[in-house]
Amino acid sequence: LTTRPSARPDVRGEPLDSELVLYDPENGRAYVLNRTAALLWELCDGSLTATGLAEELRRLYGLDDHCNLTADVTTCLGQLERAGLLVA
Amino acid sequence: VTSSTATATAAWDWRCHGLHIRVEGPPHALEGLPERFPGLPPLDGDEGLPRTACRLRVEAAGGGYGAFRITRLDLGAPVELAHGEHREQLPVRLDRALVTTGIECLGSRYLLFHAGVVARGGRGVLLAAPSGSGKTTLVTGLVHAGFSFLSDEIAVVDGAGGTALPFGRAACIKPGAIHLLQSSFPALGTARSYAGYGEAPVTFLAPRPEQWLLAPVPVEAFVFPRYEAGAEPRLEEISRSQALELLVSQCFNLPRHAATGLAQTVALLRGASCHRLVSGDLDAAVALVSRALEARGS
Repeated sequence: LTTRPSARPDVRGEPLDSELVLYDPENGRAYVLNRTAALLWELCDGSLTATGLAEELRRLYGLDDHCNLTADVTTCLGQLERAGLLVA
Repeated sequence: VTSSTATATAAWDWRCHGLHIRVEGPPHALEGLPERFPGLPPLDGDEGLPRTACRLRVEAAGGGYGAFRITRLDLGAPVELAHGEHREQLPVRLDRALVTTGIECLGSRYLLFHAGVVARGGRGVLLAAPSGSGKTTLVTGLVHAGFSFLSDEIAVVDGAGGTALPFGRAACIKPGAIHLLQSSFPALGTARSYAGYGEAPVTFLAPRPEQWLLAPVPVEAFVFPRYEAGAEPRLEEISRSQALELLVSQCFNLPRHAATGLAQTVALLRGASCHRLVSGDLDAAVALVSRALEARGS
């Protein structure tokens, strides 16, 4: 929760309807992110921790203050990290 | 086909989007090639490959009666593409060698998908699916219903222009489909069949000249067909991201084009409708695909 993930700059994103298609040039694999995961990926600029990202998402979606997205954000970050799409 | 009786060799040329493949060999080896691989003239609106010439040679290989090998000669050192022990195996193996060479060369410029392509009213339908899904049967049925033919197996896509182009090869009909198509194409009943790779013999059905679409066409619908005997015919719309996954799985050369290829594939899908088709009834499948394209035009 204390690391500040950053989207890999060499990974190219292509919007497709409400989703985002990512292409990893290192392994030739493509990934499709839903709208929320795409937004999270785009927020990963190395300045925010998981807690900060959750707070930013909550704000962008206009959710109540008591709505805590940290667990969901952590899960999604884990998936992006395992896919090699983030740099810590 | 040109031939020389003195050397008992002949040559035949196949041209497709700037690619020029010359096949040399004994005259019998070249029989039927012009019908199976009709060459294509240069197309308006298609830049084509920079001049690309390939050479394939068919020759006796010793061993059993009619043993042969097919070698590609334009790569510096000769590369064997196929061989066989019996003369009957030659046509299908030569076809495969031609298609493989075509894919390799055309793939430097175009995105190539394992898909059929038809068009009507200036709008293309790309039908992508693995072998055995009924692509050729459906493409042939659509052509009989008035669609233009571009390909039954190899979709040549100009990613930069967002258009599909014809692939100069006749439709390759598997035995299971002949009874479905014979009433529409009576010539299939008497057409020559060719032995496959341990499979049942295949028959080729060359569209008539007026049935070809010799022009780039925008792809407005993607259909992912699956033949399922006895299934209630159904065409369901799928998301473009689902279509992307299915389409990428049928692309021959996406890694070669890397991020640009993926971006072009995504761009192709953006303006198109995407459908999954399950059917065991050819007429119903043709009607469903026709309606899907008409719905987009209305």
